[in-house]
Amino acid sequence: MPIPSDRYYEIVEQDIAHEMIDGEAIIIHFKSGNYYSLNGMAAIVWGWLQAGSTYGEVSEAFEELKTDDVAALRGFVEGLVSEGILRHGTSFDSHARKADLLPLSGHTVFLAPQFDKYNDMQHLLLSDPIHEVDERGWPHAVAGSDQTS
Amino acid sequence: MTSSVRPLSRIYETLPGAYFREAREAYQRAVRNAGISHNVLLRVAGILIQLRFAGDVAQRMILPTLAHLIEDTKDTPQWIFHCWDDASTRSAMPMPTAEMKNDHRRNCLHKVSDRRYVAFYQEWMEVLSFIDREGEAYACYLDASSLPMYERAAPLRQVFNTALNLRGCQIVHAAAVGDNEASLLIAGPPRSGKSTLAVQCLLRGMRYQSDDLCILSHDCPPRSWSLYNVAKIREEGVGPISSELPLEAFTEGEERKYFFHVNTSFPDQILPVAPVKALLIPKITGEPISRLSPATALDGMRALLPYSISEVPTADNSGEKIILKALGHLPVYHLHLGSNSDQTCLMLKDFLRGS
Repeated sequence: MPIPSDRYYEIVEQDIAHEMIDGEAIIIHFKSGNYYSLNGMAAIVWGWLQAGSTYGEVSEAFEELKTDDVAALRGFVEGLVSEGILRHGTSFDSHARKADLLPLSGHTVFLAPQFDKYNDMQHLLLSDPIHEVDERGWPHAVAGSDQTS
Repeated sequence: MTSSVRPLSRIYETLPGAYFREAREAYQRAVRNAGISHNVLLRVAGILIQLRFAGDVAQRMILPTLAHLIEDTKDTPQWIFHCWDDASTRSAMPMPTAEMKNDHRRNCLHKVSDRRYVAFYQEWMEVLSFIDREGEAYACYLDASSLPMYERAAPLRQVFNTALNLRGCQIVHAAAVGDNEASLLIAGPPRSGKSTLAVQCLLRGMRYQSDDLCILSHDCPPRSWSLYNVAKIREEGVGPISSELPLEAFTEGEERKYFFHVNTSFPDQILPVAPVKALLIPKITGEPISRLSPATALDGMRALLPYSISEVPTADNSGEKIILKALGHLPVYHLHLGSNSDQTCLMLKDFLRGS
């Protein structure tokens, strides 16, 4: 199913923290405890979506998209939706767009964007290693949770 | 651990403001019973906080750790914190009901918290804290005379942090040392060497902010503040310095450690605030010589964020956002930590000077 070209995306700000650092977008998802790294083309597309680009504007930013490219772009963007980082926009506000950060049509060579997903901080971000202590009290964490000191 | 003899809250509807007022009434009863022992002004990351103690036991246990923040000023405080303990004031703080504890996550009682009020219950330590984000807080211990070192060395962290979050600051799990111009944050998992390194730097004349928890802002450049003026030493690190410092022993889990208040032994070396020059991620190598190598922002985030979030009870996700924003302005380095602490401290001094 193709994505409508006028679809735009909203960042689920209440569920994530995100920051672009040295060309890498780092995203932390509070509810899952997962975090994500977006480099290269993924960070560029993230920046466009953050600025308010529609899907059509993003896809038209590339010189020529082959069938596999379209699938890769769709997979990346909708993957971020599946992860709870983006959601489909419901009330387009052209004034909220950052015009100077939107893509220029046909100026970008396509490289398949991907995000790296990590879950190794979940036990600290989601559990409560201080609170979840055994009967001896802190710093004796219950089995399976991390110890702090 | 002392068993609780606290009554249950009489608030039957989970109204945040109502439980907050119940805490205020318990504090006022404590004042009637035991009087106000101390009433001090603290400057915490630029915020002027009045700290009042009912009875003298809680202040004896935690005020020395905050003594370096005391300020003599006529300015009006932005916050008033009230602190007491049940045992010495004979004013028991009502416990949260089962209904209130229905959504008890990361020490926050979400059922009785909202955008204005926050209630924390650190059940294992029997500490209840109530914060009105408009500038008032209450913190009650069950029996302050038996406070664990966890609290004595870093008291009221949930109350401080809630106030700090409103100013774009977060308490972070990091040691911090520096010179007169800048600081270095040293962050990593437990036993990565950061606390020992901070004390070694202190003993070699560097300025000191923390061995464990300090305040970080998301400014550009980020700034760090000293919050707790304590330094802890492991048993094996005590040897040659034990006779020079007023060390107090304590046990953490199975481990025997020592601590001292930095402002009593090294008053001129506390660094109240400084721009952060870099975030260092230490790793003990077993080699004699220490060295630095560049690390990524993602490395820095892994070292700093998860332990900071897990160490500080919090009602929302402001901390993650503040730390991530600060990381956007911070160079990050791996610190390959060798055994020669003289060389390590010299290297860090040179790094701070930019050479």
